[in-house]
Amino acid sequence: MLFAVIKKELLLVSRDIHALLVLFLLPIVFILIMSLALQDRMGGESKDRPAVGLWMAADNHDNGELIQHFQQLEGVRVENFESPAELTRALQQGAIIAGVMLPARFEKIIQAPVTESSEKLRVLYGATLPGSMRRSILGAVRQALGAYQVNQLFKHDDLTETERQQRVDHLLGKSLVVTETLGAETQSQPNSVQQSVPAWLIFAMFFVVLPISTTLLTERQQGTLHRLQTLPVPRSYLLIGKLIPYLGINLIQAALMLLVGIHLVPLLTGEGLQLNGQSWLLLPLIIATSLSAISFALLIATQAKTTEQATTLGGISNLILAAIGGIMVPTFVMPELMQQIAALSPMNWALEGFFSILLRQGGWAMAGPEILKLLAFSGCLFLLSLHSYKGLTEIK
Amino acid sequence: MIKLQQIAYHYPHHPPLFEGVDLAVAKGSLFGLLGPNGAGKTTLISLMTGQLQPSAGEIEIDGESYPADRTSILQKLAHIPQEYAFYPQLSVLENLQFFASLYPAQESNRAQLIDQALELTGLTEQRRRLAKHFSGGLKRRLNLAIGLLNKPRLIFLDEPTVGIDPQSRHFILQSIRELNKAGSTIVYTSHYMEEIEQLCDQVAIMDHGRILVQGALRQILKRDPQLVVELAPIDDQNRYAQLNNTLQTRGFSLSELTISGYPKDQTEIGELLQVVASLNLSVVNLSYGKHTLEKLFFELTHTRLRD
Repeated sequence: MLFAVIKKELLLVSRDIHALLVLFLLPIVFILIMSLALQDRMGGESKDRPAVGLWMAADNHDNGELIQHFQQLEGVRVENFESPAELTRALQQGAIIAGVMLPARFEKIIQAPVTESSEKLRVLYGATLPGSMRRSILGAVRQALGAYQVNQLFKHDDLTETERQQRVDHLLGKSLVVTETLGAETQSQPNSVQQSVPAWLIFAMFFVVLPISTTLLTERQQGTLHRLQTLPVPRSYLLIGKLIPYLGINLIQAALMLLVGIHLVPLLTGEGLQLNGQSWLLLPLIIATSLSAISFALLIATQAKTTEQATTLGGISNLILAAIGGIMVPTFVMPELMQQIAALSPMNWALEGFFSILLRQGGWAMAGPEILKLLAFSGCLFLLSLHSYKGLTEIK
Repeated sequence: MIKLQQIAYHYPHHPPLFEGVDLAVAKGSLFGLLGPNGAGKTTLISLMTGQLQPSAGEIEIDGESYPADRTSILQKLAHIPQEYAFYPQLSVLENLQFFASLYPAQESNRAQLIDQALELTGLTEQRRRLAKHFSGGLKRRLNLAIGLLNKPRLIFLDEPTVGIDPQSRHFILQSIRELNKAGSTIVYTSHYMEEIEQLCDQVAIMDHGRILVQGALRQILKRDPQLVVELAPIDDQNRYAQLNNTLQTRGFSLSELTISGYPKDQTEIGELLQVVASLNLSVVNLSYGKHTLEKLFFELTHTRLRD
């Protein structure tokens, strides 16, 4: 009997083209778009670094060392220009984000004392370039200049290339600085793929509210629910019969989105989702997320009076939970107050669970509390929806 | 046999709909339940099919009662609601398979029951089509077919011929007759009086939560026929008053220009017409004879419009 109810629900959702689009196509499209859009703004290394134009007055071209330092500006891709006019045009057209111009006899200029009349190296920024990028580019230019000048100090010493490099690094302070990330081998902030795949998967999982509420409201409005009341079938079967197929659908969604993150996203961004040794924890996390999404959908479906009311209420609720829960805007860029509000959204619990497993490799100790919160949330909502459902079908 | 004894029911926060309702439906009968909108027919059917529980009284079906024997009673009854209570996105066969699987008792002969339901409702050829593509007539037949999947001994049909073409109506009525001949007791509600008159052997007419009349259709229609005499306009108020006084003494009533009443025999009709003639009044129309169900229905429930 339960199998028949499950089969019926699966047949109904498989014939609802709009639901299938929302459940499967929408998250794939979002994952691809957002992974691409955020790849330069979030954690991961981008193969397509921003372009900075470089023009050098002709006499500088004989100085291979100078050219080498400026061709390797840190964090950017350097494009050479034949004239200042060409560089300026490219900057105005947005082909490059900034430009560096080295005046004639630059080698001499940097060795002489700087006066008001000294010709200077010019750094030009695009009008819309954010301040943080301006500071990065300026830092890279200063570093290139510093490295060149320090190199000149040892130019005539009788040193091997390795020894010279060691002294240069020492003077630039490179050997005095060590970088470290808290919790070795882990990341605290996700890159674009690690953010997009779980975020839009969770978002899509919660959209089971559309097919669930449409089916339940149609059953109520068409009198099918009353007909079911006159059949010898327990009411709890009818509700559990809705829960199980959508759990299956959520699991298929999860498998599909993870495959998209692992195999399809790298084709576009060069960087894919990587699973690690703790990835088995994704299964209980996805099940807990799915139960939360379904219970939430059942509660809305049993409370709403019409299909329109349910789909509007469900859609808006999902958007709000996603907006505050770090799905649309990563929580680490939010102010503290918003981060506290984000922690109220079950979508955020699920997202933090994904980050704990995929980024922080925290195992059960980190992901467990999020999973338990989701299970408690789904348990409460399922009991509430069962109560409402019994109210709809009870013998009065 | 269905027996309702002293049934009372009221919806939450509403005044009582039923108080002390008695009804009996004989086993194997084709029972017509009539009443204007809001009379309480659907509520009464909901009580008989176990969807509602009376606040007082007892409902007995073949010796079993709600709520103790609810599961057993539900195994043998079918409720075919007025709405298209199935899944339009599923095919005929998928709908039938789903609803059939909710009767565990019929598991062994499920396929056979589905075939029989398809055959009886003429849907065998259509079994692979999605229900959402059906006309109103085909939808009504599918609605009926779903109700036959547990081989019910008792079938409640709530206006099964609303909004369909004459051919589909004829087919459905024929199917209902066949089901009744095969031994099923049928409780049938409809607003179409001629359908009830053709189909049913027993009827009950209800209004405002009360059963106004119930019994064998033939007996009910044999009640004293009503005489209705319509008069031409009367200018003279004295003659009108004189006529009114005379009618009252003879047990007839006068409403504007219409005389109505139940004469004991044809002699009494003759005497009444003599009174009319003696006052120099003209008769425009006169009706008298065997009751039709429609006439009886309007006599009992009146012609005032309902919500």
